Amino acid sequence: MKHEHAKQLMIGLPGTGKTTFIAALWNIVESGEIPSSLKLAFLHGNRDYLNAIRNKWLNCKPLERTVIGSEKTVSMLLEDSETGITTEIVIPDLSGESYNVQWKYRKWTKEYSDLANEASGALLFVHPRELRDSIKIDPAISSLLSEFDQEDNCPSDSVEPDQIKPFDLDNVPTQVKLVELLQFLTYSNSFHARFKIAIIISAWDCVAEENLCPRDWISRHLPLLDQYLTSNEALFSTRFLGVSAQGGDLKQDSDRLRRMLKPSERVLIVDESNQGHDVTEPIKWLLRA
Amino acid sequence: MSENLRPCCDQEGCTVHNDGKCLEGFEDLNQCPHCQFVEVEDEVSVEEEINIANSEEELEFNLPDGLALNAASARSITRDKPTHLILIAGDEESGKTTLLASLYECFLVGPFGQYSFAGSQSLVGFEARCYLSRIHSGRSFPETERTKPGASDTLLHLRVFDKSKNKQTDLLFSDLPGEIFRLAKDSTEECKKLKILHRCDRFVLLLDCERLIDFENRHETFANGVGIIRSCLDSEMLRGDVIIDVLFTKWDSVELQTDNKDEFLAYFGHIRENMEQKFGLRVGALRFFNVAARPKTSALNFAYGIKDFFSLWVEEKSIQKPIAHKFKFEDINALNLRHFDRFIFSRNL
Repeated sequence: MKHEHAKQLMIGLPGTGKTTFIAALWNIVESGEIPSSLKLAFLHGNRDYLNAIRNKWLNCKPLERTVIGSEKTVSMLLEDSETGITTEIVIPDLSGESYNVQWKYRKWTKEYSDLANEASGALLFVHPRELRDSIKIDPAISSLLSEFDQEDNCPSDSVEPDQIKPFDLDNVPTQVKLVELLQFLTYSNSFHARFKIAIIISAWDCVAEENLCPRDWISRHLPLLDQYLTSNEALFSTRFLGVSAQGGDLKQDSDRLRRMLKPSERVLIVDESNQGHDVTEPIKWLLRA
Repeated sequence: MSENLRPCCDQEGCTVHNDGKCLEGFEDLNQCPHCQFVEVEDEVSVEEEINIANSEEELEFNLPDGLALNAASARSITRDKPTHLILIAGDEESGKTTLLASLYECFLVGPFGQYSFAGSQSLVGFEARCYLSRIHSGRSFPETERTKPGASDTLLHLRVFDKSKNKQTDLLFSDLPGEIFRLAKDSTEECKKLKILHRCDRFVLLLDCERLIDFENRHETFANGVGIIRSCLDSEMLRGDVIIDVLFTKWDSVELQTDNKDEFLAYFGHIRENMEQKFGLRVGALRFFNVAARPKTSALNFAYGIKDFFSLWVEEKSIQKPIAHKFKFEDINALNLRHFDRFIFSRNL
């Protein structure tokens, strides 16, 4: 049996579902409930973190924010029944805040630099409810306000200077931050072309009613990111997936979810043409040539 | 309510998740039918962030700051790939920065014409320039912060991709303060300090239509524009093959005119004719465009007119005109040339 070693990055701003994904992933590979999934070859190393987050996931409890300093590097020995290859995958469960720090302070730690240099691919997470957009001031509304001000004999721009908020890097649109995080990877001397990235749209159940495939969802809601990836196919090989790692809204659906016979079947994962429960699908794609 | 719950709204334009203000005006957010509360992580305090950033962990390297570039930092782009340098010139408040901000904003919603966004080393620089035109700034009217004099980092980088040609092109836009061009117009010595003029592939002069339709200011505005170009050419800082684009900015102010519109349009025609006469033969090309980068009326689309010249900015570098094109046939005869020389000139016409 062939044994390989692969490191994958998990990139995502705070609250984008990285830890929940790992919890669901651990449950599926360990339980073997989904026939097509990667399977745990055998247990090794310390699993208390994985078991702790998996148990919360099983109980339909929300997972707490991963705080910088409490991050864990997750390691699983997985067998791909299709290829016969066993791969040790190493996934650092980095806090979303660490990516915010990269964006704002423009620094990589040595640890992250080593990870980025060694990674053979990445999962990039976005959450539909955590998107920050850039909304332009509408000139038509401004004109209307101006007319009202004239009627009231007010100055045309009645915003006091102290009401204007200073430019803050936190308020930059999500898609701009994500493009920059990917650009950072390309600046590294160790970056290799056709770097594989699986774009994961978390909480896919929230947006299923839009009737868009994951690629089209990105194109509609994160067009700058979509253009960047399309224009740089020489740099990145990309796949788009929608994932509901919880399987529903924990406030409304937890009762239904807990009653499912096979918890792994809570998970919903969709791509261009398929839908299923195998949350190892993006990992398989990253590992395979 | 749990401290870990944050309001969230699906209505476009509602900023409740950011500043707690409901678009519908509800003070009690529980009353708003569009508002939901979601579990989120706690906000990290500024102090915590700074501690994180300055932690004792060894830093591998600093990443590019994403701001405007200077000549040295731009070399990392110009060294690796052919790059088009586009110099944006004009009086103070003629719309130089707004033009670039609006161009960037177009890419935030999708491809611009045939071009897709392929990257930028100045994302933070562009974002800072767009900020005052967005709702998050707290302003009622869109604005652009004036470019501060004295800044050395003035180059904004944009990489675009043309799918039909499978080709990426790097563009560097200079975003210089208007004061610099005022000084350059008035002094050859000041003009010669603008080394970037030698290198630019395109010189874009902005003429502010709000001033051109103001009878009190229009002639001065036009004279200033002519003065800038003339100073750059006479000081030999602009190459003879440079392309000059003259943009009539804030064109929405013309479109909104009900009285005297024909007279204004005639004046613009006079400007074109006059500049063509003065500079047409001295440069690679001289072109004129109407632009409203951020129109105040919804009658014109956002970034009105930019598409008309953007593809030229991407596709064209400088134009080397054959020497004979600088002369009319009558002039050739007047030069008292030998027959052979006249033959060479006439072939090139």
